[in-house]
This record gives sequence, C-alpha cells and structure tokens, in this order.
Amino acid sequence: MPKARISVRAGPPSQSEAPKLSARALQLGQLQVPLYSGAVHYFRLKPTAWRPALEALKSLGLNMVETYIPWGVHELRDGSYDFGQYDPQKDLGAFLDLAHSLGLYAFVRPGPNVNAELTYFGLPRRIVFDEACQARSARGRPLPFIAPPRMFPVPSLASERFFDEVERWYTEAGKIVAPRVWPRGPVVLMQVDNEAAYYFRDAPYDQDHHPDALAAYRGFLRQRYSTLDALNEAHAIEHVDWDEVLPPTSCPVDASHGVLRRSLDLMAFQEHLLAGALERMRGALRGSFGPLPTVHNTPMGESGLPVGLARLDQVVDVNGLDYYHRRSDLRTVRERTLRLAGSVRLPYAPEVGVGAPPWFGRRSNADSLHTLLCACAYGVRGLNLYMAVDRDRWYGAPFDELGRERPHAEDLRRVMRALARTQFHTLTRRVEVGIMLPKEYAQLSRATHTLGALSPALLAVAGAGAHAACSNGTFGFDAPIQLAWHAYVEAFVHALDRIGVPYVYIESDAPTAQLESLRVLISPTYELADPERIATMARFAERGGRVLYGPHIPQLDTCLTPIKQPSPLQREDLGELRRCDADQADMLIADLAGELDLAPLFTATPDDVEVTVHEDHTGPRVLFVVQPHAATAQVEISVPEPMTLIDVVTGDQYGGDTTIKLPAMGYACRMFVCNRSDSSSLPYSKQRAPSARARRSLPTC
Amino acid sequence: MLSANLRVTGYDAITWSRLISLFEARQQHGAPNEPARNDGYAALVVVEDATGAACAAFIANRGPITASEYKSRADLGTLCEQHGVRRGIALRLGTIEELTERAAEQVLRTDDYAAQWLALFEAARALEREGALYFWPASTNAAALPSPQLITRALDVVLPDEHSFVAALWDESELWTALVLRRHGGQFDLIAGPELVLDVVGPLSGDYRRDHRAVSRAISTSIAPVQLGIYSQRRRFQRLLREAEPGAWAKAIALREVIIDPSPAYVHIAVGADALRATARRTGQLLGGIDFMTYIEPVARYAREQVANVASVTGMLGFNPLQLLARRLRANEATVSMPPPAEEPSEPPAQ
Repeated sequence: MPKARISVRAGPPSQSEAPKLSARALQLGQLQVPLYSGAVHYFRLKPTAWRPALEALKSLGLNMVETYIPWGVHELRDGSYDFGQYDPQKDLGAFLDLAHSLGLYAFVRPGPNVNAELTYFGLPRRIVFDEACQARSARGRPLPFIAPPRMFPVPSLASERFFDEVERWYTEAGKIVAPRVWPRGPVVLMQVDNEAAYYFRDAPYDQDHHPDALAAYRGFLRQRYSTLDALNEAHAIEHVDWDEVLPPTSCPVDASHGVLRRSLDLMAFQEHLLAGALERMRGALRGSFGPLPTVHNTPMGESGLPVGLARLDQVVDVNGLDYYHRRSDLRTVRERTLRLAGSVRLPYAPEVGVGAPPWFGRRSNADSLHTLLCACAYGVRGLNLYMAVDRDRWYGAPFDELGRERPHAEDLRRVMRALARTQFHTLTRRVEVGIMLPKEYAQLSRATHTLGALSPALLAVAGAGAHAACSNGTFGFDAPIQLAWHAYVEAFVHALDRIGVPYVYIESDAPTAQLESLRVLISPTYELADPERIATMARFAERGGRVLYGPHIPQLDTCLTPIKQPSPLQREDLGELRRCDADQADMLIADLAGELDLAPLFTATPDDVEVTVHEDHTGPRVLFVVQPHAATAQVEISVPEPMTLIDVVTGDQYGGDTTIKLPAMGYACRMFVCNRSDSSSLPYSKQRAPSARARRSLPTC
Repeated sequence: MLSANLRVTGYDAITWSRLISLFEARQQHGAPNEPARNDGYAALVVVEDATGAACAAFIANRGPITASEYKSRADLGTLCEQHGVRRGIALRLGTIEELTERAAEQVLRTDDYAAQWLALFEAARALEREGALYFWPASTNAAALPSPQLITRALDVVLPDEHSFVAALWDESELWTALVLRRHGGQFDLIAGPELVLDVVGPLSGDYRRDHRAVSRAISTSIAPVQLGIYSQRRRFQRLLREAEPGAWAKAIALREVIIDPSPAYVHIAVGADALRATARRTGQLLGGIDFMTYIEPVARYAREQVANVASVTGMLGFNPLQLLARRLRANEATVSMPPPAEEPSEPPAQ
C-alpha cells in the first residue's frame, strides 16, 4: 500500500489541463494514450491482492485499470459512506493511489447502475425498495428484473427522488475521485451510468408510468404538438386535459395511423428519456468528479434497444458496445461491430468479456480471444478487458483473484502488445459503402413488438432478431414496414457479402461526418420516412456519392403527416440517386462494385472466409482472417504486393508475392501483422489509385 | 435459496465449462466445445390476435416467418413440422404483459430467488390454464410446482444449514472440475470450484479413492462440515448422469467407481432403492413381466418409514431429481443426435 495519500483538499484539474479525447486516444498533455484497459474490482479483492492484481494487469501490456465504484457497496445502512474508514477493502482512494504509484491510469465507473453481477446491480437496497425511486408498469406495479441472486424492482430513470439520491452519491464518490483526476492522480476517464436499457426492462410498453415519467411524457408531447387539440388530432383521441394523456400500454396490431402514431411517439419519448437521464447524470458527474471525458457502454441487443448508439454518442464522448459471445457467434460480432464502426466517433468496447458471469453459461478462453480479435477485425479501436483479474461471480479472467496467471493470459498479452506495437488505434479500415439504418423504422419495429417483456433486445441476443416478434399488420401501408425494411437491408448485405465489398451500418441519426469516407449509401424508404434522413441522403448524392434507396418515395413524415415539398429523392439535378427494389440488390451491387472499383485489394478463397485490412498512410499494417463457420479451411489470400503475415498469437509466418496460403480454424479469427518487403515504397493510398471510371464518381467532399 | 451475499469463486473458463458440460446435451457436429446449435431444438412462437389468427410468428434462432396459414391452435403442429422445429408456443397478444403484471407483486413479496422464480412459473401456469398460453406438443408430465417451503424442506434433508456439499471429478490423475456448495442462514452462500478446493486442500495425489478423505476433511475445516461428498472419475460420472438403467448408481458405488464420503442416510436409502429397482426389473424379466415392485413396494415403504429422521427427497418433491436430470439429458441428446459422452469437449487452441 502506498504510504503517501493524495490530499483530499486538492480539487479536480482545470478545464485546460484535463484529459481530453482526440484522434481515438486520450490526450494527456502531450501524450496520446489509446483506450486499452482491464477491469479489476478493488471492492471484491483483499487489499493485499491489489498490488499483484495491478501488476498482473500491467504484465498484459495494459496501462489503464478500469473499475466500477458501486454505490451499494460503499453506502452503509445509516446512509453514511465507507471508503475505507471501516473496511480496507472499500478504500477506493488507496486503490487509485496504488494504481498511480504503479504508473497506471484509471477509468472509473460509478454507476448508479453498475450491474457487475452485484445484488441489486450495485444499488443500495434502500434505493431499490424506495417506491418513489421505482419504475412503474402500466398498472402501477414495480418492474422486477430477474438477475440473480435476487429479482429486484428497477429504478425509474425519470424519478426526481432517484436523481437526487444519485447526485448525493456522485458527490460522495467525487470526494475520493476528484483529487485523483489526472494529472494529480491516475483517473483519466469516467463512465456515466451503465448499460442504458432501463435495467433490461426495456420492452416497448414495459415502462415507465412513474408519476415523474408521466409528467415528462406529457412535456415531451407538449413540445412536439404544442396544443392539446393538435395532439388529439394526431393521436385520434379526445382528451380535455393534458393530465389525461397517458402512454399506450400495448402494441397496435393493425390499427389506424392515429393509434400507430401514439406508439411511435412513445418510442421516441423512451429514447428521449434515456438520453436525457444520461445527460443529467453526466452533468452531475462532471460537477463532482471533474472535467473528464465520459464513456457509456451499450449492452448486447443494441438493435432492439430503446436508445441508439448514435444518440448516446451525442451524450457522452465515447459510446461503446459490450461483447460477450461464443466464437460460433463471430457473424454477430461482425454485424455489431460494423454498426458500431459506422455510427459512433470512436468504436470502443467497454466490456470485451474475458470469461463471463457464471449465469451466462459457458464461455471458453477461445471464445474470449476470438471475440476480441473479431471485434478488432471489423473496427473496434479501443477496448477494456472485462475482467482482467478474476473476482466473485465471475470465471475465466486471465489472472485469478490473487493475481496468479492462467495459461490463456499469454495469448491476450500477445494481442495487446500487437495492438500497441502497430498503433492499431490509429489505423483505418477502408470502407466505402454505408447501409443507413433508419431510426424511424427501428422505432416502428419496436412499437409493433408483440411479446412484451420478452423484448426486441432479448430476441436480438437470442438470435431471432430484434424484429422477430413484430406484428405483421400493414397499418394501411403497402407492406408491414416494420418487417420489410429488415428484408431490404438484408438483401443488400447479402449482395455486398457475395462479392466481398466491405461496408458499415450507420444509424440514421449519426452525424453526417460518419458519411464522409463513403462513396455509396444504401437505405430503405417506404411511404413513411424521416425527412431529415431523406435530406441527408440527397446531400450525399449532391456531393457525388451514389445512393440506392427504395422501394417507395416517402409521402409521410414520422408524425404520419403528408410531406408537402416534393421529395429531394426525385430531383434529377442531385446526382446518382437510384430507386430500387430489394430483388435488384445483387445486380446493382455487382454493377456498382465494378464501376466504382469497390472490391478490396485483399481477397480470400473460400468466399465465406473474410479478410479485413487495417492500414496507415504507408499501407496495410494489420490483417485479420475471419472464419465464421465451423469448418477449418485452407485459405488463399490474394495480396497486392509481396508480404509476410505474422500471426500475433502463434508467431506463425506466411509469405507470398501475389498469394498467401494459410489455415483458418473453424469459428476463429486470426490477427496478422503485415511485414511488407518494401514498406518504404509509395504511400499505399497512391498505390490504389481509383480507375478512371471510378474517379468520375468520387465524392467531392 | 441463494443468499444475497452469494459468492461464486474458484473457476477458470475450463473448469466452469466442464462443470456446465455435465448437464448439457452434447452435439455431434460443429467445432469442439461448442454448444448444440440445432434448429430443430428451437421453438416456433406464434402470437395470436383477437381472432386467433397469427399477428406475429418467428423461430427463436432464425427470425420471423410467415404464418398466414395459421388460423387456430390446431395449425400449430403443422406449422412446426413445415419449419422443421420440434416445439411450438402459441400465445394471445398481451400474454407476456399479463404475465409480468401478475407476477410482479408476487415476485417482490419474497426475498428468495427460488420462490421468485416459482411465482413467475405459477403465473405462467395460470395463464396456460386460462388458455392464453399453449404449448405444442402438449406437456404430458407437467408436475405440480413444488412450493418454496417444500424446496426448503427438501434442501434441509439434502444439505442442512451450515453444511457443505462437495463433488470432485478427476480425469485420470487431474482434478477435472469440482463443485462446493455451502448453506448458510438457510440459503446457498457459496459456490466454489477447483481452485478453492486446491487452495484449502493443498496438493493432491491424483487418485480420487485416496484424495476424497483429504478433500472432505479440508472443506469441513475451512468451509463447513461436509454433509455429502461425491468423488469419481469424470467419464464414469458423466455416464451415470445419463443412465436409465436401474441399479447403475448402486453398482458404481459398490465398485467404488463413485465414492460417497461422507454418505448421509438418505443416500443409503436412495442407493438401496436403486438397487431394489434393478433387482425388480431383472426379476420381472425372468418371471415373464410380473411387476415385482408392486409386491415389494409395501415392504420398501415400511423400511423407509423405519429410518428415523430421514425423509425421501423424491417423496417430498414428487419426482426424483436424478432421474429427471437423466431423462432430460437423454432426451436432449437424442434431439441433437448425440454421440456417447465418452470424451470431454476439449478446450480448443487459439489456432
């Protein structure tokens, strides 16, 4: 234990000297620190185990420790707090000081929700059972969540009482953390809440009927419609007072537009409420902890959650995805990462599961390793190994609770060293096609979910897809849009995959900067669409990009009111806007790939094995080979120049002038460092000059 | 059943996977150490609108399907067969909302995890009885749900408070996996694995027939007095868990292929009953199908009643947990075309 404790009178750093995020890394003064960290839970380890745990973390090549700070662990029954005064295991300050003395940075996650497999997700029992803090169902009942070892009523993210309590907690935790913010201490990053999914009671009509949530809902509708008459007209209802307005409580099967609009408004409100709650917590956290960059982790099932990745990326500095997968799910890892890479500024994985909670069933060491590699293969640029050191209610970390190394630690060490050595966080993956996922259709799919608390997110995690239980009603449209848009997207995904053209998914409310490197944008459009999305697509075409959309020209906005102006999609002066059906996907993509030279320089056979390349200005630096199927394959990779590929885990080397042959095990991802024989040659970007035909179509942005 | 202060510790990914694998159906195809991924095993779900027609339908691991031909529950079986799935669930729109509403207060009225789940299951059963929920094929052996009190009483017999349970399995001379459970304050407060066993016992000889004494003694000293210890080679144990033949457990114990140490009275009775069933079956076969058990059951019942302070867990719960587990494992493995569970799923190399 370090003798010297930081004076608690020292305040947080000024705004100018505070850690900042830039270029996919933390900017600490003149130093750039990539976001690679590992989780160690001080409150679950004996203080004598802290040092071995932190030294073990360092031995993995990590220079940042991540830890939750669980409210329910530190708060005592009488409402006072124990930060080591009574129980040395809770001495957060001593832990952070020790990390500092070992040269580690710290990433803290004070909740209020920490999950961490703690009872009540780390909240104090008094909060959980305080009725004023509890979320409410349509019948006014609390909403239990089934987490072991106790189902507990989830808090309301609208409850003023809950927020008051959270702010008090942040203030208390801030007394320990703020004096230890870099440069005075190790703390460089902080997380706002955790897993924004209404504590996994995130079904579309589950919550929240807490009085404060109802007031917020009415406020949201007031802002949207201004008058009660306008609301009545839109919702096809006849309220005489705003206080009568209640959110819908069940899924419309095949109803009028008025009924559908009520549900769509609720979906929009749920996102608004969640994002607003996080904004409020972020403000309180900055007030108590200091001006640190903020992070949030979105749990699995993001395609069905009430709040999108892009929306939360506007609330915090870094919004990432959690990864807990078997290696037989590499296709899912790929899909999720492509969505992350397309929708947020810094694709980050706040929890790459190394091991798992016991109630997740079994995850092997290979599951953890290949999930980590696959996430990197498709664009993750920062990550937190969760857990780096084992702890209660967890198994499979690379080090046990005493910091003793387990055999698979070495594989992780090699990967982390390779990421650092190649400056992986600075590399880019060349992607020129974007599939825009319309927020309004995602909300429509949620609104028509028919299975209550077996939520869209849960179905997504189960492999059925977030839209699996959508009603098949058409609501007066040509087709059930809530189902049809997925089929449209899938048709283009298959077409792109068939010829190996890389792409990303972009949530439609992501900033337009996410589109800057793209040359082709694909997005479904039906009778109803968000005019803002349509305008974005039109601007993309205006800048020289190609847009594929269809099958309809939208006539209604998201409020289901007719769009008065002619659709910009029909303007002929805007450039290449092509309306098409899903069944034209194969033909159109094949044409575009040829015309724009979209095919990657590295290709692999057999076709179902995928190669991803990450490059800097000199050319390819890192290459991943992903075999998402069970069979082991002999892979032949065509390469644009002579090179040797060095497997970062096994050290195996494979070389060739135009092709390289190597084995790819089933359900596996291999990471290679590219050793080019002439890496000082022409910058790679010039080697790949687009064809004359393609040059004509290059975006002008 | 689970303490709010439950501690789970002492496993790495390999030993935890091994423990889980004991109770999992294994697959024939696919990469090693991968769970069964058989589409036939997934359920088809139909949500019915007010007219009974399908307003949504999907297969759990595939996604949405068209079910326009579904007009009533009589069509569920046909729909399942068309899609090659073995189980179907039909439910009225709003059933899950109703389930969660009904269960909410019952669930939060208790501070016991098992009781919370029972409340949830009870609410689901009620909805099934009311016709809101329908399973295909219809369950033929839906036993009444035991009450939380009954479960507690059964647990009191199997593992009394402030006692521990140990199961340790060897693969040749290596401790393959282990499970230590402790009850404290009427609830399980510790689930621990081989790392904890090795920490408290120290180095083992590698022969379970000798090591069991040291393990039981060390766990008794460091964790809580051991009420029941089971020690075996893991292959033998895996086969026993799937064994349908009466007398298999009795034989394995007699041959010291499985060592029970300490061995509480209820285990003696269970093993005795197992041997008795085996004898009855063999005798019945010899006597041309006469049900010998019918004749000896009163004697066996009398014998059970004479053993003071011992209750039959099977009698209390209304089912034999071991037989139920074996049946489920066999059924699931039949579903996924299982090879015999002779070899463990190995941890694959990184490459």
